[in-house]
Amino acid sequence: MTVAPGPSGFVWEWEWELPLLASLVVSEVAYVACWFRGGLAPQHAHLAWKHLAAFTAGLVIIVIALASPIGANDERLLSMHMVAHDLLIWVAAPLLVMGGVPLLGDTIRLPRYLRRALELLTSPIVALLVSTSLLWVWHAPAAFDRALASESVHVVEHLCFLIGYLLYWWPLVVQPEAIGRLRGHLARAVYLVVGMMQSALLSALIMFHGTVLYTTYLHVPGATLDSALADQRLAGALMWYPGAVIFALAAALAIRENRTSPLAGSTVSTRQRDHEKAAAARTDPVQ
Amino acid sequence: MASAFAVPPSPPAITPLLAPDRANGAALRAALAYVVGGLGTFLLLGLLGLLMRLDQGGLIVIPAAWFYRIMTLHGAGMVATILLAALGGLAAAVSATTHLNARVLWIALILQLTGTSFVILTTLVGGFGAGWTVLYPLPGHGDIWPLSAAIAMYVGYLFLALGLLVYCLHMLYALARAHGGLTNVLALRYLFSFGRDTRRTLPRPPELIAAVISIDGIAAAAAGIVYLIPMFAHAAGVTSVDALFAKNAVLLFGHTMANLSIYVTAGLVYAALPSFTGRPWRTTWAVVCAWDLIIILMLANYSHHLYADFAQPLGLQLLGELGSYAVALPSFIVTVVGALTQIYRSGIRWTIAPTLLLLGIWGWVLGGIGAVLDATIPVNQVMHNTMWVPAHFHTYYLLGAVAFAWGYLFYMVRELTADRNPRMLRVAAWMYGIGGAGFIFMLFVAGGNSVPRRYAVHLPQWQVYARIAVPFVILLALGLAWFSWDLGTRFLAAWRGTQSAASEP
Repeated sequence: MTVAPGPSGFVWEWEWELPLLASLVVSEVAYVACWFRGGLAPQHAHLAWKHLAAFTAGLVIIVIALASPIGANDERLLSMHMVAHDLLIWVAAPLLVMGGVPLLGDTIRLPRYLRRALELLTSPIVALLVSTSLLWVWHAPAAFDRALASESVHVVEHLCFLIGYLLYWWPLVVQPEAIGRLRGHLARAVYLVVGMMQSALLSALIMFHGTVLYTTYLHVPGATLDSALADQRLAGALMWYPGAVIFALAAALAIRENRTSPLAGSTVSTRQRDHEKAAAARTDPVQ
Repeated sequence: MASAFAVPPSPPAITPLLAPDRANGAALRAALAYVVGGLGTFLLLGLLGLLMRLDQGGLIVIPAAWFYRIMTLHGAGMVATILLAALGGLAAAVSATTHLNARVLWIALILQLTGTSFVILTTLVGGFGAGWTVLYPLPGHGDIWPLSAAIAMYVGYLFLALGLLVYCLHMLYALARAHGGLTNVLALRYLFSFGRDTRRTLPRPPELIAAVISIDGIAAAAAGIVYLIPMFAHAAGVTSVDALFAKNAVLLFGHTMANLSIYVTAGLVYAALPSFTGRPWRTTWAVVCAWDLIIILMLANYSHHLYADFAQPLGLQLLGELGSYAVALPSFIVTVVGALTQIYRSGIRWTIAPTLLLLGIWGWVLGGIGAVLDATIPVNQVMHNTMWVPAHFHTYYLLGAVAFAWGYLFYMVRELTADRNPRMLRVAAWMYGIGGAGFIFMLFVAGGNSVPRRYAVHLPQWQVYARIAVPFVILLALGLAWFSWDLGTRFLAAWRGTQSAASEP
């Protein structure tokens, strides 16, 4: 149900859209089914409750970003639109990678064509280039205004952000033995800093721009030039400051001494060893 | 009975940079990232300094608004990046004998880089030009930058303060754990027994200095956060702020950060010089006394920047003057005399690293003399707003702290590659020294002739000083380019030198 906003008030209602809800529910059901089955390749998957929790939390964040008053107001206020983007790229995307990738099991044993495609897309340089390009291209005024004018383009925009940042977080978040995992403190630090710097630059350009970049927001009922400009400054700040905090947190979690999975806090290696020991014990003729 | 200056029970051997089995490899890699990141950014910010000097010489024209942006970025960036390089060097020196968690070092580095990125974007994109001191109320009331730029600058400083805090807390924790308590790292029993209580093994000088620096670093970071909270509140329109309180807090933060970078790099001399002279640098009572005193004295001297503020209580003004005198004496005498004693008849080979370390000693001494003069109230009343002040801190930084940091980096590369630094590279050190000295001398001359500081546009009669300085700056830049080229060719080998077969890739 879409509610037409008043001239100045904030809309406190949720915007439930059937296609979005249906796709999220289907994703969750499919994930839970696979999770109970032990993954897509059960003999090599090591799924834990935290993976289910991470994936589910990722989907909930998408709902909050797009259906809550945040998403419901993104066509009225640029600042709300930016919060929605923040939630998609900095919270939902890493959670989905964290929960979703273990479902694939041992990525090394995937079919060759799939492995090759994953190796290419999740290589750090490609992931960084794709996520950065998508973020910048969609924030170009023409593209952004187009997304605001058309619901379908808007959906494509959000999908692009989500896919771009699923790729970005992959090298940092996946389990140690997975394809695309970025190794070494320096590499991870540089990857994080470059990712942080490009989004900070974009945020600063939006925040400090002297005129209204996205003219759609000038035509919102009740909006003035000053209010739109103030909203744009707030939007830049909401993209910049939480982004810096997220990257600092990601650094704290992704840079670790040992080889266990970063952000997920996974002990996949230990589990795998236990699993292999148990398997060996089952096949050991002495026992 | 042991005398006050009896030989103490400190480890007599010279400690190599790499611990056995390269156990400190991960910490050394983080340390290398600090030093190279800090000095690399220093090179870029140095180019901004050259632009400002060309403008002041009338050789190019930079619009005034851009001059102040560049000045702000140059000032804030230099304090942050030189401190970064210094902290990296200190972590390397300490890691040789004390376990430092590389993860914490990386996190602190990323926090510092995040803060630096805020400062860069706020000045270059946001137009912020209130100077690195961000003195209240100017940041919030500048007509040529929005309030959001001031807030972004504060956020940048907050990240810098947090990065420093994380580093210092970890360093202090690691040292206290290794030595069985903070009093042992500071050798307080040894100090207060006048060298008689030698029951415990004393810390190595770099460990003692790291503990001292960490305590002051925590105090500086706390002062920064104390300053920033009312600034954020003011930006939000919540309250007005006492301008004198704000100035005291921001200078306690900023001035101590600047001091820290100088004293940390001086501490690197204790770690590196013995490997060139072949003489261990012992932790004597004098060393302990001098550096333990720094804990208090470094925090007491910032108020010499407030002599012009008539509302400042007289007691604090006098504390500023006395603190400035007192902070110079112990560390100067002990470090300078200690270094000269190390070198005297040691048969040292004057490769680039010891040459730069010795240059740093002289830069530190000369900068200190300039600082002591500036800290004298009657002199300060006349000189504080002239080029004399940039002259003294450029001497401290360029000829002191930065020379120490480059020297230490060359030492690290030599240790990690087991490869001698080329002898010809000494020429680059001379270029650096002569270029730096000429550039700074012209700042002193300009200050002596009452040329004001922080002016974007210089009168024609002032421009001659900057014009004479420009060839020296170019010589300095060539020396730095030579350093960078040489290190660039050997850095990868040094990085690999930290890795053992079992270490993290």
